[in-house]
Amino acid sequence: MNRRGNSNTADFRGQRNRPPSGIRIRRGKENSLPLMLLLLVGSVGCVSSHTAYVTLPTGNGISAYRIDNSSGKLTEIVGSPYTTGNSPGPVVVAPSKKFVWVANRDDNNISRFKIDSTSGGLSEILPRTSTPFDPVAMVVNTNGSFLFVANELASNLSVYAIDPSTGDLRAVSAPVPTPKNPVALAVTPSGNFLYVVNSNLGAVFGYTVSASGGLETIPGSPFLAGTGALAVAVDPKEHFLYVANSTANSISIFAIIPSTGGLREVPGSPFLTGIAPVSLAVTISGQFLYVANAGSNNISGYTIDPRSGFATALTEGPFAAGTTPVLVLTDPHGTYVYSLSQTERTITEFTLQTTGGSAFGVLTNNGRTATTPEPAVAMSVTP
Amino acid sequence: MVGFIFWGSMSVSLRAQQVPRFDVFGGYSDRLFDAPSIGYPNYTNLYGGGIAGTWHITMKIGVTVDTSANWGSGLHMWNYAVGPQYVLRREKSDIFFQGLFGKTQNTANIQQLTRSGFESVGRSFGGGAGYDYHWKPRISIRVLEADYFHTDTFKTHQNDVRLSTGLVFHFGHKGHRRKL
Repeated sequence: MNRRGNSNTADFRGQRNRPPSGIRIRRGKENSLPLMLLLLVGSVGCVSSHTAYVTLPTGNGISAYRIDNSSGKLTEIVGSPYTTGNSPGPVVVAPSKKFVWVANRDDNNISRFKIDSTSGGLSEILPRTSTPFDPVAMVVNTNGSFLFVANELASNLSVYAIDPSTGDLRAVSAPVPTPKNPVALAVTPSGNFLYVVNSNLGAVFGYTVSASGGLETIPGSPFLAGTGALAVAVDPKEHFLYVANSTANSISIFAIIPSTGGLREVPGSPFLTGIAPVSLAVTISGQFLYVANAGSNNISGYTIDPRSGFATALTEGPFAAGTTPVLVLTDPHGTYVYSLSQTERTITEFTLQTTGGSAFGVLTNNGRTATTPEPAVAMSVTP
Repeated sequence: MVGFIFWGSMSVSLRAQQVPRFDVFGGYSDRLFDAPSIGYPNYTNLYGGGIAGTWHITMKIGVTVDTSANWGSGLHMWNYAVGPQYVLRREKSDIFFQGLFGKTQNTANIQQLTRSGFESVGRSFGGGAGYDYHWKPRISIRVLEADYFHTDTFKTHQNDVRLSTGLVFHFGHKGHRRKL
């Protein structure tokens, strides 16, 4: 016990708090019980936990959930869903856990929400930040200094500097043009490289990110993936980049060249998935990759070789995930996996087996689903 | 200091032999609110106070009307309930048991563009017990009252515990308590 802890104990037992010697107080059970109960109540502690935010385009809202660290259970936060602009799509949480940004695709702007530190509830802060047409994807870098936005119909990228104290967004430059229809973004943990997936071309465009947020095309870019490339993810160690090819029913895996950010497809890539893979999630260890197959209503799981990037499908998979899963996501501890079903309006909870030989990486359906009030499209969890 | 008053008052309380017709309680309360049910990370202490009135129909049976308000951590709660009370009377003290049925209004202060928070009113029921020490002929000290409440607000359920302490004022004269 530390010095402070000992001191607290002494306050209750020390001579200072004893009554004068001429007065005797019999400390029967009836007297000490209330004190004990009050101390018990006063000792209710704080346990860090995570909150998840889910956008509801048809309801123009964002739902908030508390994740129970011990069970993975999602509990809707009071007041949820909170009002957004029209047709909210991508959602990202600030690494500081203070703000949430939601792109309103029909309004062409971004809502900024303050996260209530106690409840996890959201309060929007006006004004909203304008974007070019159809902000379809967003990502924030690890240190929370820049927000990157892909604008699908405008066919460009916006970069915003984030005010760490207010969450306010300021465009660092004019939007950077891209080929038509960018649909997904990923930034590396170092923040040095940004990758943009173009569905029409089935390709990944790579950019270096300068200290001021400027983007410069990586030599050799674009890098060909598969047809219908729709989602992209980078592993936490920044070794590999994964692309879901929704039409080709495969994932492409690339090794990231640390010095340049260039991509080199790993041997064996592309790897087969279920039908219509539309979302990817890499565990915090980088050891497992999960893919939501919207067409086959399940999640494929893979172990990733840390040196080669070779993906080996988990033989226990694929894992049933409700009708048309559109998103798969892991919690920050890599203990739970969640999948979003638009048609069922549910979030299915899985426990990720993190110990034990052959069961390693297996997803166990917890038998619980959280419901969303409207069909959901995107989800983000506090770090 | 409290202990000294407590000790010094014992001789006075020996004269408190009458059973009152009506009691009014007022005091401090601490409600352990089931905040995880509405998405908060932990049970939350809400501090406040309460007033209750009890009409003693017989020496042992009464009806109590109870209201309390508690707040903290961006949450407000107002509870009002009515229910039966059973009293075990001693020469210097009473132990009572009660059931409570009523309504609870919970408010979460999460600022929105068009409103300051979210509010929900729902039924509540529960029960508890307490210990009163007779300090003066017309005043008792409620050493502790502990009540459990099951409430239905925000489209979900809460299981709360409320601890109260304060003073009970006695009015009227129902009968005499038996000497031990």
